Amino acid sequence: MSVVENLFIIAGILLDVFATMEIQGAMMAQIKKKTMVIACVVVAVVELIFYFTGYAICWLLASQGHIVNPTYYGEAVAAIVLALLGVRLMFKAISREYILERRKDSIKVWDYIRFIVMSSIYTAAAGCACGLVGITIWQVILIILVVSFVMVILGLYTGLHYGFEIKTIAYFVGALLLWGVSLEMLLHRILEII
Amino acid sequence: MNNQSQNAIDIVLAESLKELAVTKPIEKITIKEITDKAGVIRPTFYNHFQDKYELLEWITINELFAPTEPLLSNGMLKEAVTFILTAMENDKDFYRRAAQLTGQNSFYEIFTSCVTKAVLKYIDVESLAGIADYKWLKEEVVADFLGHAISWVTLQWILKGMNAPVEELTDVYIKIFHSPIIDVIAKRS
Repeated sequence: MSVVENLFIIAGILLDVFATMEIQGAMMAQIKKKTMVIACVVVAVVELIFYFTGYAICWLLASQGHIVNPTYYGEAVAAIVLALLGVRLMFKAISREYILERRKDSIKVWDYIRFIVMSSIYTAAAGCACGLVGITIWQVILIILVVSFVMVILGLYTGLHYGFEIKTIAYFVGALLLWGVSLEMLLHRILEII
Repeated sequence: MNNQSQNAIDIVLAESLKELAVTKPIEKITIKEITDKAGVIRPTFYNHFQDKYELLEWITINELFAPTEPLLSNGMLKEAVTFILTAMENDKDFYRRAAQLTGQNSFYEIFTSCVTKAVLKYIDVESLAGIADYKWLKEEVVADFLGHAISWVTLQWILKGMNAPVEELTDVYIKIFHSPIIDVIAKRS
């Protein structure tokens, strides 16, 4: 997969993390640097673990010959997984869950880790597809680290200053990014139309 | 931040919530909308209140109950009740929205808590609790009973559009306080 594709996939998935952190930021009177650094590290580590667990499983299956034509299947799986991820984000955007805005003096890792782990299951699915297609590992590590940090910091500060209403836009943008990559993979790599 | 400026921000936030509540249900009002209308940045809200329900409690205490303290401490119960009901009538739209809130953060809960505290402080619940020699019949139980009864009647009055005049409702409250139901029943029979 190309750098741009990887970037769009990771950004699309991590816009869910942005929304989670935005909700946390919306509950705070101020953001402590320590809280922000911990959140950045936790999110990046969880995302890396899930991505490379999915990647390792599928890469091992492919390298041991359990999957015939791994590139083709990987691209097909990636296109389907990304489209489904987009549907999930769009569903979250439309559902508009009720959130009680209430001040928290500090945010604890437990407050958001459950949501991060839930969204990371989809990161693992994306990692699995990439394990079949093949990626440049250092590139993906760098992208996950940078995008995780950016999403956490942006999410917290957006929540602090604008509340959690912008999360709907984040879900829409995330869905569009994932659908865009999915469509590109379908037309360019699988059907070879463009 | 000194107390005066802190209080000024509390007031603008309260006015903002009251204005917004006229146009939409309180549960749908966001902190951002409150602070935008008040002309302050969003984090300021959390420096003053934990959530919008704490702001609603602040409004209830400061606009309805706190001004009645001098009246109640001088035994002017009728004037105090008249003040509270008139203040509600003047902000009819806001209190109607507030009365529609349900659950743990409801206006009913806040109002009941304020009435119960006032009853405990200014009404002789000790002698009311002394009507029977039961261990469980404590002052708090009597105050809680009166608090819920008064709040329920008030809430119904608000929800039904405040059609009954304040003077009449005040008269009913005072008569209930002065003439226990059992006496009225005894007189009829």
